[in-house]
Amino acid sequence: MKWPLLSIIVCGILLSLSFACEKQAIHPNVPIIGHAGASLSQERAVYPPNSEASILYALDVLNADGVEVDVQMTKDCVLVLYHNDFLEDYTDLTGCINSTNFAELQNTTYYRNHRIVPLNEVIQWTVAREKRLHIDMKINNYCTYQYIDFSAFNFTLASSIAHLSPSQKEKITINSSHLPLLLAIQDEDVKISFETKDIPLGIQHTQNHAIDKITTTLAGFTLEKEKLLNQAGVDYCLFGIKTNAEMNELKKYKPQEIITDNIPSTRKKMN
Amino acid sequence: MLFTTLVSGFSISGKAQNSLDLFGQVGLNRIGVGTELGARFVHQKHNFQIGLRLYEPDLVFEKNTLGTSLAYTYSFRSDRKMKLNLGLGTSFFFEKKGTNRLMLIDPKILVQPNWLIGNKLTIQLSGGIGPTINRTTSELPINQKNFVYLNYEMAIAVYYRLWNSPKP
Repeated sequence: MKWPLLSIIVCGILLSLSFACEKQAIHPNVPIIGHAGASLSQERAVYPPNSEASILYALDVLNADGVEVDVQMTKDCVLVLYHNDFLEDYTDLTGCINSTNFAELQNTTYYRNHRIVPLNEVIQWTVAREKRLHIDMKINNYCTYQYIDFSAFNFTLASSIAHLSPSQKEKITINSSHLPLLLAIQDEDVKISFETKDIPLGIQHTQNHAIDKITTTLAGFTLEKEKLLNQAGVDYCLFGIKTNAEMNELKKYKPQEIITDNIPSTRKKMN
Repeated sequence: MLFTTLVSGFSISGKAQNSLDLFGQVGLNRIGVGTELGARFVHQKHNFQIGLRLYEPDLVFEKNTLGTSLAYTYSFRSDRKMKLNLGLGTSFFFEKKGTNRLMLIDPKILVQPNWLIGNKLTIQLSGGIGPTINRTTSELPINQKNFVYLNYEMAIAVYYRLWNSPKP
């Protein structure tokens, strides 16, 4: 009769300690952005990546400060969310987004019972909630082995965000590892991000072109690289964060944005 | 209140043996790792359980979140050493995230084999499956929406027999 009571008391004390412990904030207020909505990781995602459910779940349930989405342009120049190179991976269609008209995509299912979402809708969702939108632009048509038409992309993007105020546009980031695509963007209010692991090259591009920040993966990032960025006064965003080990590694740095596959855990670790 | 009524009701009226157990459980599901402490009242083959479950920040909650858990199971196979319980359970949680308020309910079907491992100790494995319902409310009407997905849970628990009614 004694030891169960004792174990209850011990467990109670441990529980209260876990609530009472107040840790010093590591890097509070850093915007936490959901990868492909809530998560790109198969083990962690409850909805398919880049789907309406995943994006709204990240924004409304997980309280993300924004979402990162993978965007491709259709043959008739509509920007839509799709991560993979080929349609057969997750739809009833075959081929590439860049070789398919938007009307055909509207008639197909994505991950069996979801749909391919046009970027315009995601812009509406994030603007209505005053959240950030990080657009990872895919530049290749893997069916024709050609780049997409960058000027057409610029025109389509401009029409999608024409109705937004400058402060609303500032919450939108266009990210790519392909400099010519970024240089084709003429809107001066959206943020432009160059994705690279080569930090000195990234810094060079921010100094020579209208690039606002660098997006880089946590794997291979070091304190020396962060020092270079800080010395050059360049903002950076880290991605590739899924596991506890990666979140603990993340605590060493002070990025201006974090793209993560586990929004609640990352927020807890950084606060 | 319901639990207390059940316990006292069965204790005074039942001819069959009743018992009260305390338990500790650790489980993993699509919300995260949940730790639970609680009590189980057993009347014949009916098991009523209530607990307090704690989730640390993982896949849904961003703060340590404490909720209530309820379950009813029926012992289908029962001998001195082993029981197989089948039933239903649910838990309720609430978390405020910025301006949003999240209410989470996860009803599930439970399958629970358990083995007597000592005079008063039982070990139980528990498998559960069911929908997890996330409801968010906010000052912004656009944020009001339910998100439902299938959840599955594996847990292990240890029960300690605290009290037995006298044998009839």
